[in-house]
Amino acid sequence: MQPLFGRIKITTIDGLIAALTPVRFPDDQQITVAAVIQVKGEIRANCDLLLEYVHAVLPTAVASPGRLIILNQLRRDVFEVRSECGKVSVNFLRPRHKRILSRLRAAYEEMRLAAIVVCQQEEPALIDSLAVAL
Amino acid sequence: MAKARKRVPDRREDTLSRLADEYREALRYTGELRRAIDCFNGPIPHDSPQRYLRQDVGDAILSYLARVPRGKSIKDLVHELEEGGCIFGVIKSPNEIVTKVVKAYIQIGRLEWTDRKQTLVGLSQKKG
Repeated sequence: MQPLFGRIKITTIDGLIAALTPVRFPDDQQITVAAVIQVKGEIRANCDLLLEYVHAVLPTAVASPGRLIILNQLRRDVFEVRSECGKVSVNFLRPRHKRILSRLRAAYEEMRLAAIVVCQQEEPALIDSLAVAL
Repeated sequence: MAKARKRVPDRREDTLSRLADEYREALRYTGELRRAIDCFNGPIPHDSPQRYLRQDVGDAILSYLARVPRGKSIKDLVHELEEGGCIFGVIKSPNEIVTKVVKAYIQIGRLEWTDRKQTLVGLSQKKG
């Protein structure tokens, strides 16, 4: 059955922070396929939330070129992270070195930085809360 | 009469509750200050130590570069923005944030590198 009012959109930084889950990349030198799947799942969930926020506030940003530039940058970074998440490592039955996540980690950091810049524009007081939530 | 000693979990909960109260009050006060500041029109004077408080990083960089004759390095921009009261937080460094914004603005054509080594940033000279 379809919900009556559909999904509630995230339109504020506060709402975004409440919905995000902090992603912790494995610290061990060798990582298992299960750990990779788990971290990629968490990253994808955060990407979806960031996209939802960007799409919700983008129409209100047309009057402000600065906001538009930064929101589009965040959207590009989110797509980049999703693209990295989609890359599958082959021959991965035994644990592998953690460097197989290095590109994903770098892309995620860029996305995190873009989100912080968006937050700096919208709610400067919440910059650190958002950085921790990601 | 001897004071009844509280258990550690109770003390912890009391402390947490007090901190949450303080935090909520600080947020409310911050919001009120922000609304009060927003009641005033026009920019904050260029020589004020809080001149970039109402601007985001991108607008602050554009307004600074519009006032100076030549391109500036990322380090200069960070210094100017910090001097002007721009808020960066403590987790990510101002250098990372400014570099990210500069790259986004260069990609869109609002800023450009003014030297071949890509160390100095200036306003874009392209028209339209």
